[in-house]
Amino acid sequence: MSVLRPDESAARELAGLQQPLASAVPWDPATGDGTLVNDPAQRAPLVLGNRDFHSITETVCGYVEKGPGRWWNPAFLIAAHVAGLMPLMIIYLIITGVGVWGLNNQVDWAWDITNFVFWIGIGHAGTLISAILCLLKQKWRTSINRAAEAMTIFAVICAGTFPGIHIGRVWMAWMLAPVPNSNAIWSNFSSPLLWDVFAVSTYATVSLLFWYMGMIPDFATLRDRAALRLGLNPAGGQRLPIINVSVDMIRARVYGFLSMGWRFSTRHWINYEKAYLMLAGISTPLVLSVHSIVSFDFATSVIPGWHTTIFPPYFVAGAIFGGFAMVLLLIIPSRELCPGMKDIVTRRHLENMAKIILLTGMMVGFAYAMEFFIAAYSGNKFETDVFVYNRLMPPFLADTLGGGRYAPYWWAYWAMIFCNVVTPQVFWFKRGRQSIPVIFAVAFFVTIGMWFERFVIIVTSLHRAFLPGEWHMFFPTLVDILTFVGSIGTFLTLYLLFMRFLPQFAMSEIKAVMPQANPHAHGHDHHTHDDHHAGGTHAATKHSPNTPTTGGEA
Amino acid sequence: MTALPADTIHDHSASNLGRTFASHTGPIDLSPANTTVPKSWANGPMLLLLALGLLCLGATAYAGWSAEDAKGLKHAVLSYHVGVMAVTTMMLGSLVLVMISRAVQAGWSTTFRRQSENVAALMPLLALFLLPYLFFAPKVWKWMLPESKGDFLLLAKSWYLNEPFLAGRIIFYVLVFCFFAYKQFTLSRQQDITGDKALTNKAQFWAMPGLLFFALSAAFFSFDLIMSMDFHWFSTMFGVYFFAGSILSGVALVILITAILRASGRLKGLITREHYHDLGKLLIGFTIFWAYIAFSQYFLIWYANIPEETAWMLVRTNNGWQNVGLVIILGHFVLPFLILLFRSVKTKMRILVLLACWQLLMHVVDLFWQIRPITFMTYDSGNPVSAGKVGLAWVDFTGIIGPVAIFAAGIIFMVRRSPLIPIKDPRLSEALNHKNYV
Repeated sequence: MSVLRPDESAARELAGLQQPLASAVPWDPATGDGTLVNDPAQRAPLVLGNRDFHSITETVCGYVEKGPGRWWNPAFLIAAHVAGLMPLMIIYLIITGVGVWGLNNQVDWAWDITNFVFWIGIGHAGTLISAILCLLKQKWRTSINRAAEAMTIFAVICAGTFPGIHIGRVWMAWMLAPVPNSNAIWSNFSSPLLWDVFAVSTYATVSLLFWYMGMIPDFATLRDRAALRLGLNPAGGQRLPIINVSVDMIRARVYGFLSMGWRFSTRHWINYEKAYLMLAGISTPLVLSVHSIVSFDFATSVIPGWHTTIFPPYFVAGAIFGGFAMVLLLIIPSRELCPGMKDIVTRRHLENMAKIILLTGMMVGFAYAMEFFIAAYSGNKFETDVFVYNRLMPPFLADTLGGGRYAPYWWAYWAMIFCNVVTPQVFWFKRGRQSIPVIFAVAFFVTIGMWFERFVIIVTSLHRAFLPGEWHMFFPTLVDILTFVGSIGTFLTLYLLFMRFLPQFAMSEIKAVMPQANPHAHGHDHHTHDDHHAGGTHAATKHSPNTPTTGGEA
Repeated sequence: MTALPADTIHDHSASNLGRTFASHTGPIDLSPANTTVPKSWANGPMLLLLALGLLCLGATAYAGWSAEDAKGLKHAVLSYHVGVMAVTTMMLGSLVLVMISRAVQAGWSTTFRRQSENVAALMPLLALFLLPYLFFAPKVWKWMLPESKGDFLLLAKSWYLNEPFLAGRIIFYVLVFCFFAYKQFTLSRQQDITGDKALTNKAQFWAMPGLLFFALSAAFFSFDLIMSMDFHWFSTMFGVYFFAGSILSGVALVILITAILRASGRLKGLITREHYHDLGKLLIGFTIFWAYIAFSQYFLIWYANIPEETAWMLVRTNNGWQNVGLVIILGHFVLPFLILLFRSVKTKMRILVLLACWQLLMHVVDLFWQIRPITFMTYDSGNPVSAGKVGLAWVDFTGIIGPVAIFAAGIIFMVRRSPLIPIKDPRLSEALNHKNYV
């Protein structure tokens, strides 16, 4: 197989790695895989296993070329079946009418819009990781950004479906776009619902570009590896059944098409880095704008519980909160199931994400508290009533505290509080945020909690208007539920396809943050200032952009 | 594709290199000559600022004392209130900057963190500045006046808006702010002496609850000290708005202080163009954040158009106050945003310092726009009807300059007392080696 590694020595030479490396980071019960160091003079390594650049290429391309593991086929089969529910339910909805949902005259936004906001929120973590953490120079993002960006695209796909199908007459969906028709009826430009269409489609476009552009060098690597194997052994290799075409031939053609003529030249890399920075700059306000506009859908309405000024940043924080939880839900099993991934996604990465969950969870908690406080402070009886008697008051306290009244959706409210505010508190403790099962469990709760948050906001405020004659409860039907389950299946199916056919990590970026990318580093120590910085020039090589070292890959 | 001449490419990369490494050519100088100022440094300016501050406060007090009517006294009081809030937000902004950089284990900020710590450690000044409020509290908080007591909305809010509870809350906020500022300052100073790495972890440990308490205290502080001045009005965003202004002024202030120290020949090679580039990014970042919050608050109130909310905005967008608002929109956001977009601006210290000063000034104008209209406000059954003309007078300047000048003198006093950077911080090497790489 060594003949398939023509690039290894070049990479070693470029990186100054001719000398054998120091031993790998040993497993230490106190610091886990070695990344949970608590020494302020030291930064945790971002890639473990004393790997060289080539082994990163082998691992990441291996997921595509050899598959992520035996588990993939059954997992895909199940997910695809669940995904099938979604078109099934949508077709049923269209041919029957919105009566198949649990909507009524009072609650005309319910599961559909809850699911929309839920999915669009999940999409935010990807852009946060790829754009904002990039601008903030958080190097640990390199291990998770690709997966998170992919997740963003898939979540936006799921999200985009719901507003399209909840309009009742699906064949009128084109009215969402500002297309003038012959009767000169234009879309309502002063409606946040229309801005939402623009915001989400802009977001989807930019995220897709960002994701795709980042993958171009990795596509080229996959292309070159396939072409190399074909050149070495034209007759051999895996072949597709029935049509008897070489798999590597398909890879070389398809990845070749997708890589848009990428040749790893320095000029390509310079343009790539500039474009990446610009897209990061463009995406950053998008992280804020999309969910702010989603929040406008509610907050511009004069409905108690909806109209409150903190909604935009509160929704953004909630979106990042839910998005990071979903990244964790995907990355933790991937890390266990895909060989070698634990070296790339370390315990430190998970701990960092747990901290972001705690931070954004506290922000969301802060917003809940502000809403409550201002509802009480405002002296507005309707506002207070929504919070206390539509959301908060459980039946068992109705007699003692509620004057005999209780909130019919109290269980949804308390599920939200428990999942979003209470469970992340375990991350205050090192043992909590460093334990993978605990992180997974909290991420699971947060995902549920963030769904409930949107349900609480939408349904509890709508189900009781100002007159008691306009009070109706909402209960989901089986179609409501199965459509949502189907969207989860769609999301997982797309993610599994991504794991199987697209590079799950940005190889060049990972290589740039490896200890081996710094020829002057001795182990992972950062020396104290006395013996360090005699001159600044060595920093030029220390963190040189990932260009030349990775350019020779494949 | 035609090949570019080789020298074109070469020139391009050369200019990049020159820009990035120009500041990192010499050896790092950690000698006391570069990292400390003498105990008597800037004595003249400090005493001058102190004198100016006291003079202005005296003049403001005199204006209030000798005022012919209640409006005159209120004018002096609210001008002073704007000044106190300006100082408070700068201190709070510095404190939160320190706590955030501790909480996220930032390395690059190590060399300028000390200056923010110094500013935050001035927090007891807040208690000092708030003491005179005991004498004129009803001028700040209309709900304390006897004629407000029967107000329907005040009755609904009296569980929160009552004198003993307010006093208790203010004492609590001041204690919280002082405690966490003191913790951060002393832990950092201790490390100057012992060099114990564990102190860094300890500072991080205290930054976490610090941020939690800070978020809640700062929000309620803004409700109590600014929002409840017009007790009919409410906005859930107000605490975030206050925070956005605070952290923006905290970043601007640290740019200004370190630039002055560099101009006096210190911090050479310790706070470099690379740091200013990133501080410039933070400045534009928080400028955008402030604008986002300010816009969201205004927009949602404008769109929903409920009288109980719009009243606050209406009186501030009439009778000339809309011009102040325009100055804030253009001056606090549009102009600095457009200028700071350019990398060449963020890496040129003079322009950056100019913009930092400008943003501090605009921050004061923002507070002025929030607080000062109440001076000449007329009410109809408790609802603000008109803020009257802006009516700028000399007391507006003395009231604001007074606390700010004393605060500035306090900064000089603090700067002299400790090394200009945390000299034994384990992350110092990271900050000294900080690069932007592009």
